[in-house]
Amino acid sequence: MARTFIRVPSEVKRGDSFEVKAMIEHPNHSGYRVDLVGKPIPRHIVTTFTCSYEGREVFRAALHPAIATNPYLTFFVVARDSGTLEMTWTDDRGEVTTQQAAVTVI
Amino acid sequence: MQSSNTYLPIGSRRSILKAVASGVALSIVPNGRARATPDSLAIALRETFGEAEIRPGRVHLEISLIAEDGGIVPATVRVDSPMTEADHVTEIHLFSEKNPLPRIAAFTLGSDNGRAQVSTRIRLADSQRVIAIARLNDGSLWSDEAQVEVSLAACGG
Repeated sequence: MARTFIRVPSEVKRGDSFEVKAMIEHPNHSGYRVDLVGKPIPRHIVTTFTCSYEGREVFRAALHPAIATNPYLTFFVVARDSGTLEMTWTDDRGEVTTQQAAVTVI
Repeated sequence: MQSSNTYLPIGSRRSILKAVASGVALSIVPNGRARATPDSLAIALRETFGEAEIRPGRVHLEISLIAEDGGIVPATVRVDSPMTEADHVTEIHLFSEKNPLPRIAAFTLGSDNGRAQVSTRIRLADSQRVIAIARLNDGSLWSDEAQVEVSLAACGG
């Protein structure tokens, strides 16, 4: 499973909107490049990212080859209750990577 | 270095310059297939939004106007919206004018986000316009765009 990096604040005030930063280590080959001997490098990209907050989807991204290597996304989520954010990345070879982050609402 | 839109065969000025500039022999595939046109952008916009009117405003696309490395260009889209149940952004789309594919990303949002703001890092295959379009829950479409000059083109998009 690919390595992922997630940053969320450890504590958030109820009702506030907090920033989520999520990155996955992935070559994200666009399919438009060639290797050193001129052979095309096949496309291999992350196509979908979702974020669920206590089981409810709060953010989704459909990604195309124009996303840079190691896809990085930031977005905001409203703090409702303490709980778990689950991020899921799916690539075009069907590989699914998930990572969780805990949020404490005060 | 200003890239040109002219078709150039393998070993083109661009790949030579890129190889020289980066010291890496990975070169762009400068074939016609991998070159979108403003037409393909228009087609993608019509596929996504139909004939609905897209008005400039409410959307703020923050992107560097001069990108040294087209392979990694940070971009942020912000939309003026209270992000309440009654009034929120449902989608944010990013499009490119001259990448091989016009679509960059599409984000689904709602009142759970509190703030209509997303950031990512994109690839730009050439100096070109980047367009951000937001759809609101009332169905209206709003946009912003930026002309980005790319020094070192990505073969990305």
